[in-house]
Amino acid sequence: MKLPGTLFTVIVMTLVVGFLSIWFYPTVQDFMVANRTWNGLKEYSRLSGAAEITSLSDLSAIPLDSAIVFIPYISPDESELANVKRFVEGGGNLVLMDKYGFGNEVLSYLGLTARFTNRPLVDPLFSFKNESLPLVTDFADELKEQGIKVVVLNHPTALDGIDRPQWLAWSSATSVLPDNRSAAAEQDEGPFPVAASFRSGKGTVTVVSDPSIMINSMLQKEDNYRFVQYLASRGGKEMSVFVATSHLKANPLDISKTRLNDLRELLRSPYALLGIVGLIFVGVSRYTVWKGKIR
Amino acid sequence: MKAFRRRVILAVAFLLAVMALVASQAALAVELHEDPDAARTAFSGISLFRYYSTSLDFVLSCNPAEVRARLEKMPFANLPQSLEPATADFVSSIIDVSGLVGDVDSAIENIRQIERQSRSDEAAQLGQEAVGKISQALSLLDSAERAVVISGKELKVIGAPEGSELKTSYYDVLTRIDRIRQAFEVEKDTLATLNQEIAVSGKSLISTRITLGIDPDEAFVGDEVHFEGDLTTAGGEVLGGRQVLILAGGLQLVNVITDVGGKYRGTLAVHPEYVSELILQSLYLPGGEDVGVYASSISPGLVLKVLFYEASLKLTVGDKAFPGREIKVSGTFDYGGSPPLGSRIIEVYLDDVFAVRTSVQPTFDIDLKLDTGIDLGKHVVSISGAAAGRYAPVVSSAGIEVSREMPLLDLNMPGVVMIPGAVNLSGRLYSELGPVENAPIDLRIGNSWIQAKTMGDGTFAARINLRPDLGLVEWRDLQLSVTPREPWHAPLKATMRMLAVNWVNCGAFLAALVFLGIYIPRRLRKKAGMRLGTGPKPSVIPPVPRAEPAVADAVVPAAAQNAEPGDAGPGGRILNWYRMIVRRILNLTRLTLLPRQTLREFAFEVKGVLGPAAQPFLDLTGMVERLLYSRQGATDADAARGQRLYRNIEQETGRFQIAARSIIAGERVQGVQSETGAISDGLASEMFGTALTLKAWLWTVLFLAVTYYAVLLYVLLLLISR
Repeated sequence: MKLPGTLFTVIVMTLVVGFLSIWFYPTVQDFMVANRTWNGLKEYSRLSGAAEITSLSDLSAIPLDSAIVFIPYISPDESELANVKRFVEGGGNLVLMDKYGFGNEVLSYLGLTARFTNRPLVDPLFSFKNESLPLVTDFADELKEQGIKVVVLNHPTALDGIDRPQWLAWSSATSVLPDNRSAAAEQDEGPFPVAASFRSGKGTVTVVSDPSIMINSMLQKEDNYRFVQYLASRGGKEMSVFVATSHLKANPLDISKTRLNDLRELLRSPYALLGIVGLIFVGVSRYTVWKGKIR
Repeated sequence: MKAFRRRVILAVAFLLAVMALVASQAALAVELHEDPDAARTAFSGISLFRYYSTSLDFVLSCNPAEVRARLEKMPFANLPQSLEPATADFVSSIIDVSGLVGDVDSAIENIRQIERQSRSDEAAQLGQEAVGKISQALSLLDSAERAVVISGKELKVIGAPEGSELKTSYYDVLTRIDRIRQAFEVEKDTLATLNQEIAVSGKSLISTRITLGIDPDEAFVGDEVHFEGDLTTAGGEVLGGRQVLILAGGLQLVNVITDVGGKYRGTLAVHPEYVSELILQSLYLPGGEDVGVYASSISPGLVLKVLFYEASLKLTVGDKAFPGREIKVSGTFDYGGSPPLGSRIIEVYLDDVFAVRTSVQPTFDIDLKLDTGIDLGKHVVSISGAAAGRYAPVVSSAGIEVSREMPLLDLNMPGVVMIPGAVNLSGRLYSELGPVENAPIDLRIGNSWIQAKTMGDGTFAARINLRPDLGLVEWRDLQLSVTPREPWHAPLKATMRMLAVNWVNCGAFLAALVFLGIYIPRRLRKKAGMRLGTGPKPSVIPPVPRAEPAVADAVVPAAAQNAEPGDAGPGGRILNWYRMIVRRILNLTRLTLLPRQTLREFAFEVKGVLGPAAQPFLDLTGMVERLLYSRQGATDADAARGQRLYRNIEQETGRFQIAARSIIAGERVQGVQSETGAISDGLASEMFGTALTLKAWLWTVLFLAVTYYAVLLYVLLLLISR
């Protein structure tokens, strides 16, 4: 086989191996439902039966007696925010979990006064192993009645602009929000709310300042799973839960996976199949003609 | 072999590069958290001691509830395991101390008050109890201090620099414990002083004695009870004209004045407290001139049995409760053996919020209207029956579940729709609570969408125009979404399936299949001058008579003529090699040479069967042509090249000997072309056995595709028509 043939074969092999690698290589991106490593949501998806929605435009197809877990690390646009608002005001339950993301944009659009402080919340005394993994032991009565006693957070932030009666969970009096802008600045001391709930139209918005309580390595710590389940099933009522992954930052591997999946869907359409069959037919015919010409 | 090895190495190199790229991309995640199982462990002694200090401040401010709330969280503190016993000691000790602080304070206050009432004996007893509590508190403080010292050793406070936060916070705790200890010492001194005063004052006062009797000793609520007694000194001297208080459960009910004989009497109404018994006592407190002369006295408690009628209230509520609708609450008062009340006032509460007050019979029904904005979920309806004379109050509650009724949908829609086209839909939305009136309905099929509205009776009608798309025959979902205006109706989302046949695309698809399967092959055949797969199949090759010696003359006439016998020059050698090769080829292919066939024509004729030997034979033929028809002779270099070509052809033709015999000699065509199909079929059948050819596979794929869609359409239409 001559050099062009060799090069062609190698390129084809590389592409095939590359595609297979992208398809089967596990994702390790934060909060991805397919991620089985310590920072994914595979375990939560398995335990709760939560389905994944990859676009906020799918909200219109979701029953209103459902809960959407939304972690916005990409800024949602106007139409997406409108979809969210329509879902909530129609009676849906939105569980907005954020830290250092775009949760404040969602809260602002929904007309709520609550905000994420986006400052790290640490607790040097009541914590799991170190101050960046603070424990929450103070809850509203409705959560205590569910037997929820301790929740472990992981590099959380805190909430602001919420009246005390709306607090669902709050940090201890020894927790602080260090002010990194100036070493001389005083640290704000706790307690700080980390979960709160609001009515919006016919639905509810539950805000949690740490989405990391749902990751695989955190979900089974203390009462984390029960806590998340209660928030998603507002009032203890059984609800279908959906995890919106449309606004999670995808690394190039995940983008490639998504595009490969889209390509697969595209190739399943009748015209694509017909095109492929046609190409094969034309290729075989030309090869046969070429062989004939050689003779 | 070398080429294959090179290919493998290149492929492996690319593979590793791809894997590395994928892995590096995967590693570019942003860090928002850490793996808790791999997290570093860090303890903060400063936070621990500061927390202790703050808790002790609440002890000093007499806030035992806050102290308990703070210290009960200590099991969740992040501390070395070795500190757990010390921490537990500190917690239990300080919680107990915080309770004792309040007890001692209130005891001292009580003692002062009682002492003012000249109740010396009681005051002395309380004083002794308070001293005991102070001793207990001091012991607990010692225990707490030991626990802090142990914690300090574990957290290496001693080794910390002077003035460091750790050391400062540690000593702050010990300082506060000392302060609490001092506070208790002060109270101890205060008690000692008080006790001395009580002892002194008690000795100088004249003791008094008071008695009490009641009749009857059981009575209904509201009935009157007669009481009487007398007040004397310990020496028997009667004390007339003194005020006597009648107490029930420590609370003052009435006061009376003793007569000249020191006796008192009166009646009191049984207070409507609806408790089974009351402890009645009479109390003499010295007043006016008796202060400082006589001691107070209190009679032993007498038990008065309080009688009243009790009832239970059984509540039942409707199965379902909806916002904006009424819910029926039924109740029945059960008085047991007691005479029933004809009617009584009740108050109805919904989640502790007052709703209505009304008068009801022993069995009643109430319609309670729920607010339109009430939260969905569990709520509590409570009914309180007020006390009425001998009848005790009664309270009962029942839970209700507020939800929204899901409307039912009757929809008329076709089973099959054509695209492009339109779909006519109609239906009715209703529930047990009535029709869904004036509700907006969103209807969506793929990208086509329309909004309709229900009428007053819940009916609706709509027409959706379906836009063309790329599908052929497939199931389409009709998505219906209703947002009712009534607060008692829940939003409804429904999905129905219908079969969509895109008749335009189906026609185009069939046309494309025909184009690819029939028209294109014909064009190709015409262009290549071949009939693909339409010629006769290879058959047994009849033996061809061996060519006469004239064969060699026809092919190399010039060479035979020009060469001298025995001429071994370069040109002669080349011609000899060429001749031998031609004979070899003729033997292998069983061909005969055609009249007036040139060297080149012969070379092109046999090229197809020579395989790798084709090109060398063409080169050798070119050399012979130049030798015969040009003026230049052959050189030794040409001879050497000719020899290489000869050997190459000999070697290659030896390998393809079997394949070369498949030529059908009887079907050769004039010129350079031969039966490509026959050759390829022959080659394929020889080289790959009897497997199907490529074009047979292609026809099979096309046939299966057409069959699949035809069957699908037929079966689905059958299903729909049922």
